Amino acid sequence: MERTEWIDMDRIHGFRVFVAGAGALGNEVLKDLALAGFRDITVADPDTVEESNLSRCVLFRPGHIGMNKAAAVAETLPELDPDCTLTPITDRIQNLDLEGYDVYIGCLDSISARLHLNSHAMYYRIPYVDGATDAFRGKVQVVLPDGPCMECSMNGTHIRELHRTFSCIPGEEIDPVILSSGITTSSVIAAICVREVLKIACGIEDRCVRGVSYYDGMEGTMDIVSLETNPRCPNHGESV
Amino acid sequence: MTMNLKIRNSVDNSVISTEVEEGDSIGDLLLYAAEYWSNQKYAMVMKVGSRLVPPNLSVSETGLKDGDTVILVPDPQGG
Ligand SMILES: [Zn+2]
Repeated sequence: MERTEWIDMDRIHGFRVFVAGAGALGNEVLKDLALAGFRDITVADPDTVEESNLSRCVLFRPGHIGMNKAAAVAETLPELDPDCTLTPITDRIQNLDLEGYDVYIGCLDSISARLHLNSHAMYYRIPYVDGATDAFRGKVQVVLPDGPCMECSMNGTHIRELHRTFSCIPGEEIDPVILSSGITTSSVIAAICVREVLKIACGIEDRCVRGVSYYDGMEGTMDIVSLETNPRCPNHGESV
Repeated sequence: MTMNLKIRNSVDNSVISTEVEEGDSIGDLLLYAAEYWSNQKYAMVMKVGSRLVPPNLSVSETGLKDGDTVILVPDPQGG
C-alpha cells in the first residue's frame, strides 16, 4: 500500500480513530483499519457478544460469548498487528466525551445514535464516515465539517424510526429489506468506509466521495447520490 | 398550481401517481409514499435524478415538473 502515491504511513500510524459500534460492520471496519496500518483506535460498544454474532464477526471467538463486544475485539485485533493499540470503551456513545479524535467511524444500529455522533462531528469539526447496512443494501456517507451532514436529508420516516434498533433479534419477525446484513454486505461497506478514512488521514479529503454512496448487493450497483446542505438543518450556521 | 408526479418504489419498482401542489414539500410527498407502502416500515429517502433532496424543499424548488418521476429508496440504518 505504501507504493500508492498519496498514502502516508506516518500519518496513518498516528491518526486517532474513534469507531462507534463493534457489531458486524464494526468488526469488518476494525479489521480493515488494522490491516491498513491504523494504530491508534478507540472502539465503543455497550453490547455483549451472542452466539449468533460469531458467524459474521471476524474478531469474535466462542470464548467471547457473554463478554462486552468492545472488550472482545480488543483481545483479538492485535493478532493482525501487534503495534495496533485498541482502546475499548464499554459504554454508550451518549455517555462519552467525543473530543480529541481525528475521525469518527459510525458502525451503529440506530438513527438516534447516528444523529448523536453526527452532531458531535459538526460541533467539534471532526470528519465523520458513517456506514450502514441492511440485508443486501448499504450506504456510506462522509460528513466533512463544511459540507452537508447526516441530518440534512433526514425526514419524517427517520423520525418515525428514531429510537428503533436495527439489529437481528432471534425469533423477531422483520421485513426482508432490513434483515441484518450478511458478511458480504458488511465487508463491502466497511471497505469503503476505511478507504474514505485513508483519504482523510492522508490529507486528501477533497477526494472523498461526495453525497451518499448507496450499494445494492442484489443488483451489484453503487449509486452515488448528491446531497446539499439543508439550510434548515440545525447543525449548520450560527446555531452550531 | 397542481401537477402530477409519479413515485417509484425502488424495492419492487411499483409506481403510484399523485397530484401535488407546487408548494407541497418533499417531506409531505415522502410521508404520503410511506403511508401508501405502509408495510415497509423503515426509513426512506427520496431521489430526484441523482440528487437526494432535503425534505423541507417544496416540489417547485426541486425543479420537478408535471409528469416527472421521483424515486423512493430505503435508507439503511443497521450495522
Ligand atoms: Zn446538516
